[in-house]
Formats: sequence, structure tokens, C-alpha cells
Amino acid sequence: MTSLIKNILYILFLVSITNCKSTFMIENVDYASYLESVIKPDKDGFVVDLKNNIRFSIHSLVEREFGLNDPTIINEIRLIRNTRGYYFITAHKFKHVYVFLPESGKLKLKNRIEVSSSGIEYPFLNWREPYVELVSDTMELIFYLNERGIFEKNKERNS
Amino acid sequence: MKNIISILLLIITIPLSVLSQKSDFDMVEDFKSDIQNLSYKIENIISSSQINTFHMEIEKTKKIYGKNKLMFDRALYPQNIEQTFTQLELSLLAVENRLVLIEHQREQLVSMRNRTASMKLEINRLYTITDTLKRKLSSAKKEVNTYVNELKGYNDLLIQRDSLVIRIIDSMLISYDKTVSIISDLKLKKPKLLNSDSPLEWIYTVLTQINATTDYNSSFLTVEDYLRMHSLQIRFNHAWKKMQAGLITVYGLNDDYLQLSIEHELKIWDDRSQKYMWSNIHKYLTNQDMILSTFSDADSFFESLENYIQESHRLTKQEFLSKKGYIQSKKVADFWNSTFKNEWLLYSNVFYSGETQNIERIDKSLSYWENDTQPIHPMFVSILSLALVSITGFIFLMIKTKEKR
Repeated sequence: MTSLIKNILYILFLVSITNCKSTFMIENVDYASYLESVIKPDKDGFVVDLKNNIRFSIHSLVEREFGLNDPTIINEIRLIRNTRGYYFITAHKFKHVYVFLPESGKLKLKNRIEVSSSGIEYPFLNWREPYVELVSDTMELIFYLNERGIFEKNKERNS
Repeated sequence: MKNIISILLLIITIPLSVLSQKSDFDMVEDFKSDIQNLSYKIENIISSSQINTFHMEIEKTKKIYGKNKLMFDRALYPQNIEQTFTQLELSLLAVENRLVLIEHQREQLVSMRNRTASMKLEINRLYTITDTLKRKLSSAKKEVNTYVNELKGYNDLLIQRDSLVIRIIDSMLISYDKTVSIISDLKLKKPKLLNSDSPLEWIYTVLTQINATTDYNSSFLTVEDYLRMHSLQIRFNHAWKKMQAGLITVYGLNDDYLQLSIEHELKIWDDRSQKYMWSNIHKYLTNQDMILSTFSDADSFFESLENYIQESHRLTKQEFLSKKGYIQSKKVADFWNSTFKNEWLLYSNVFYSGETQNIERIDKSLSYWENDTQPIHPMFVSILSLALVSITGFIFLMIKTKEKR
């Protein structure tokens, strides 16, 4: 019994140490980039955002949006990061705003927010804390987004 | 002009760009572009008068973009909007300083150019003055030459006048001498002759004209002139004394007015000619380093000159080896023979009592002085020295020969 209690205490001790190690974190980190990045893909379909220190291929993104494996149809992508660290990505003629969460060596799609059935013309993204503002001259409304989707639609800019 | 248009365009386009729907990214890009343009324009400002316009432009831009200060501050991180505008202001200030410096230099350059232009004008003015002076100098030279010629003419005329007066006086004397017997007869008969024919009138006229026109104090008259004129006066006076009685008998009638007038004019002539003559001779001799005691008439002059000669003779007669005394005596002799006697005796053929003796005495004194001070010829000194050495040598040899015997 004593040995059992000892073992249990030992296990509890180990668990507490392990917990201490894994739960240590810096909180209230703001990932927001405040200003969107407008990035032109290179000939291989890669975009480099020096501001956010990120480089990735847009092949899969283009394929997902247009069903084509030709990244050259995209002239530039617009990318912004919110406070929680999600990447919001869209481009000219996109119907959606893609929300990615960065993971080790990959960007994991968190959400695909549909903003236009016909594709948005020359969109741009602004950081309006705590939302990402999506604006396009061809759209009647202005969208305020978070990683979960459209938070609000307005006629006036919220700036 | 271009700058102003650009600034106006900038002023107009910035609010439009902001008002239109634009992404923050585009706004930041616009901001960067505007700041870059503004910075470029500031760097290219060419006049300090534009500085204020750019100050206002910076303020306006700051106001426009300042509305999104937070966004810009974040987007421009690590810089912020304030720093960006401060940098612009600083560069504007630097440009302003540079321009002020350049414009100051330009002002100085303009000032220097103006000064140079002014100096050129001054030089031209001086050239003009120089030309005028040259012309005046040339004209003055001509005037001086004319004056010298006129002076020479004046002196020549004086000499001619004196000569003419002498010739007339001489001819009058000759005529007088020839008619002495006739005059004696006339004396007895006491005839009445017309005054217009009277030589007394002529004599009086000549005397008054000589006295009126001769400027004895003129600086152009030389010692020779004074001596000549005095000589003329003596000669004239002598002729007058000789003819006076006869002429008055014939032409003087009963009134002695003309006689007295002639006497008076002669007296004036004599006084003035003597006064200026002696003082000028004294001045002339002093200038020639011949310091004589003062004299005011012929007697005192002769006495003074003789004293000077004798005294100088006494002082220099031992200096036979130097030429000083001899040169001095030659200088006095030169004045005495060439200047004084030449003119003094030019017209005067009658000497007053003792004058001849005085002249002879001075001649002798000068001759003695000259002889006594005549330096010995160097060849003579050499021969004498050689002879002395020879004689001494001969005597020495004689004595030696005697001793051997």
C-alpha cells in the first residue's frame, strides 16, 4: 500500500513537472500585421512576405479557388494577419477570403469565407482591430471578418 | 513654376487619394510616395523664397495623414509618422541653410560685380580726368613756351629800347655839339621856337615812359639787366647835364616847368634803378656763395667787394696745394669781368670821381688773389720731389766717399 502510494506520488510529481514544462507560455501575443502585404508571385508560383517572414506556394490556393493549376493567373495576393495569428488571404477575382492558421511547415485552412458569388474586383484588406476589413469598390458592402467568418457587413467604412 | 504646379497638384491629389476607397496598404504606399516626392522636391529647392511654401506643405501633409496616425505608426514601424515629418523638416532646414549660404554668396558675388563695375566706371572717369590733365598739361606747356618767348621778347625789347634811347641821346649830343655856336647866338637873341619841335618834350616823354613802364621789381630781370639799365641812366643823365643849359635856352622859353619835370623824372629813374640794382646784385652774389657786407651805392659796393676779395685772399693764399681759393677767386673774377664790368661800362663812358680808381683797385686785388691761389702743377711738385731726393742722395754719397778716404 505504501509502495502504491509512493508510486502514485511519484507519478503525480512527474506529471506536475511535465505539466509545468508544457504549460509555460507567453500570453497576450499580438500577431496582427496591421498592414496587408501585397505580394506578386514569382514565376514558380511562390510568394514571399518579408514583413511576416513567410514564403509559400500559391499553387494549391489557385487550384482551390479556380480549379486551375496555373498560378500565373494571379497577379498579386493580399495577405493580412490578425491578432490571433490567422492569415487572411484573398486576391482579384477570388470569391473567398481564405483563413489559415500557421503550423509547423504548413498553413492549415481554418476557414474559407465566401464574400462574392462572382468574384471580388481588386479587393484589399485593412486591419480594423479586432477585425479584418475587406473592401472592394465593386462591392456594395464592406466586410468585417475574423477567423470564424463574416462578423459584420457595413456600407460605411469603419475607420 | 514647375515646382509650384507640382506642389499644387500634390495638394489637390493627396486629399482625393485619401477620400477615395483605398486600402491601408495603398495609403501607406501613397504616403511613402508623397513623402519621397516632397523630400525630392525639398532637395531640389533652388530659392529660399520657396522654403515657407514647403513648410506649409509639410504641415498640410502631416494634417492629412495624421488622421490615420495609429495605422501609419504601425505600418511605418520602426519609424512613425512624426519622425518622418521631423526628418522632412530637418532636411528642409538643411536645404534652407544651404540656400541662404548660397544666396548670401550670390549676393556677395552680385555685390562684388557691382563693386567691380563701379570701379571700372571710376577707372574710366580717372582716365578721362587724366586725358583732360594731359591736354591741360600740353596746353600749359604751350603757354609756358609762349610765355618764355614773350619774356625773351620783352627782354629783347628792353635792350632795344635802351639801345634806341642811347642812339637818340648820342645823336642829340652830336647835333648839340655841332650847334653850340648857334645856340650861343640864340642865347643873345632869345628867339621863340614852337614847343612842338622841342627835344625837351621828347626827353620828358621818354623819361616818363621809362619810369612808367619799367618794372624793376620783376622777377624776370637779371643782374645784367639792372646793370645795363643803370648804365643807361647814367649815360642819359650825363647827356642831359651836358645839353640841359643849351636846350633850355633855345626851347625852354621863360618857364622852367619842363626842366624841373625832367629833373624830377631823372631823379626817380636814378633812385629806383639804383635801389633795385644794388639789392639784386647782393642777392645774386649771396646765391653764388659770395657774402658781401651790405651796400647801397657804387662806392659802398666797391668797398664791400674789395673787402671781400682781400679777406678771401687772406684766408686762401696759403692753400696753394688746393684749388679752393683759386676757384673762388675765378668765380668772383667771372662776376666782376663778365657780368658787372661788361654791363656797368656798356653805356657809361663817363666815370664819376674815384670810380676808375675803385675799378682798378678791384682788378688788382682780384689779380693778386688769383695769382696767389693758383695751384702748383702736379708735374712741378713731382720734379721738385725728385730733385730733393737726388740732392739728398748726392749729399749722402759725398759724405760716404769722404769717410772712406
